[in-house]
Order: sequence, then structure tokens, then C-alpha cells
Amino acid sequence: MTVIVSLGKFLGWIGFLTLFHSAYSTYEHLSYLKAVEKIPNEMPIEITVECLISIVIFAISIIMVAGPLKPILMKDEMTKKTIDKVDIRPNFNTFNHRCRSMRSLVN
Amino acid sequence: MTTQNQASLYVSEKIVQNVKTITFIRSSMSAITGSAAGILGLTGYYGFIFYGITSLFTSFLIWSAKAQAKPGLYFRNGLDVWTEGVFGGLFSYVLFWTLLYGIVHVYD
Repeated sequence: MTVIVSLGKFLGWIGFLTLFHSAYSTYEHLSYLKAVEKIPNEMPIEITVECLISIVIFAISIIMVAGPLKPILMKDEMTKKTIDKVDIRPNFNTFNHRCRSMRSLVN
Repeated sequence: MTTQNQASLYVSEKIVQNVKTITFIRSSMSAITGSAAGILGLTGYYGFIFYGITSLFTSFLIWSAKAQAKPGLYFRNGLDVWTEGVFGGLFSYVLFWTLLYGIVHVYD
């Protein structure tokens, strides 16, 4: 379980780096277009693809990091519990035990 | 079935825990897809269409990878896996969308 979580965190860092890189590439490209005085009409396909791939990487990492869903049916919950756990009730605890009468016998 | 019986049919702590897990996945994904939308420079309706597509993708991932295609085991209503937290995620999506759009495309 922990292996999956740490792998997911590692993937999350990769996704963050690719997302950051695509953001910086977009910024660079826009400032280049401004420097050569062209009108920015379309982004290069590499940046778009990198951005979309980083979304997929992030999705996989988040799925790995998030804990598993738990079955909510009481039926499934009860199969995991032992009868001692279900049956324990404070109402039937006995605090008077036989030691008191035994002591009078011994004396 | 009366409400009393239905309440004892489910374990409420597990329901809360599942909703928490789903909310974590949804809000992280909407923050990240919002950042991506801002980087891609989407404006207007295209951004909301992008949110619809990516949240459908997220729902499919939750349904297939987290709920093992049997959402009835983990949610009281099996359709919850597709709708839980979609509108809550929209707000963080718009937040990150505008933030990244502003950083990358507007200010230089």
C-alpha cells in the first residue's frame, strides 16, 4: 500500500514538473512572438500535448495517492467482526464475584 | 423499507470516509485541470467544455480504478460516483484557470 502511495507522490512531482515546464514554454513562446511582432494565433502542438500528458500523469498519481474506498454495507462490516466484539455490552458486567463468600469460608 | 431500517443497513463512518476520498480526488483534479486550461489559454465556453470533459474523465477513473466498476458497494446511490462534488470542483477550477491564465497570458 505504502509503495503505491509513494509511487503516486513521485508521479505527482513528475506531473507538476511537466505542467510547470509547459507553462514556462507558453510564456517563452508568447514573449518571443511579441519580440518579433507577430500576432499570437496558435500555440505549438508540443506545448499542448505536454500539458495534456501532465493532466493524465496527475490523474494517475492522485488515484494512487487517495486511499481505497470502503464497502459501506453493514453486512460486509459484520463479516469482519468477531462475535466477541459484537456481543460485548457493559450491561452484563459482573463486579460481585465469589471471592467475598470464599473469604468468609476460609476465615 | 423504513428510514430506521435503512440507517442500520449502512455503516455511516464508511460513507463519510468515501465521500472524503472522492472529494480529495475531485478537488485536486479540478485544480490541476484548471491550471492546464489556463496554460492552454482557453477562454469563454471552451474552458467550461474542457471542465466537463476532464471531470467526466475523472469520474470514469474513480468508477473504474477506485470503485472497481461496482459503485453500489461504496455509495448508497451508485450514480453518486459520477456527480459527487462536480459543482464544488467547478469553483476551484475557475480559480486556478483564471490564475494561470493571468500569469501566463496576461502579465509579462
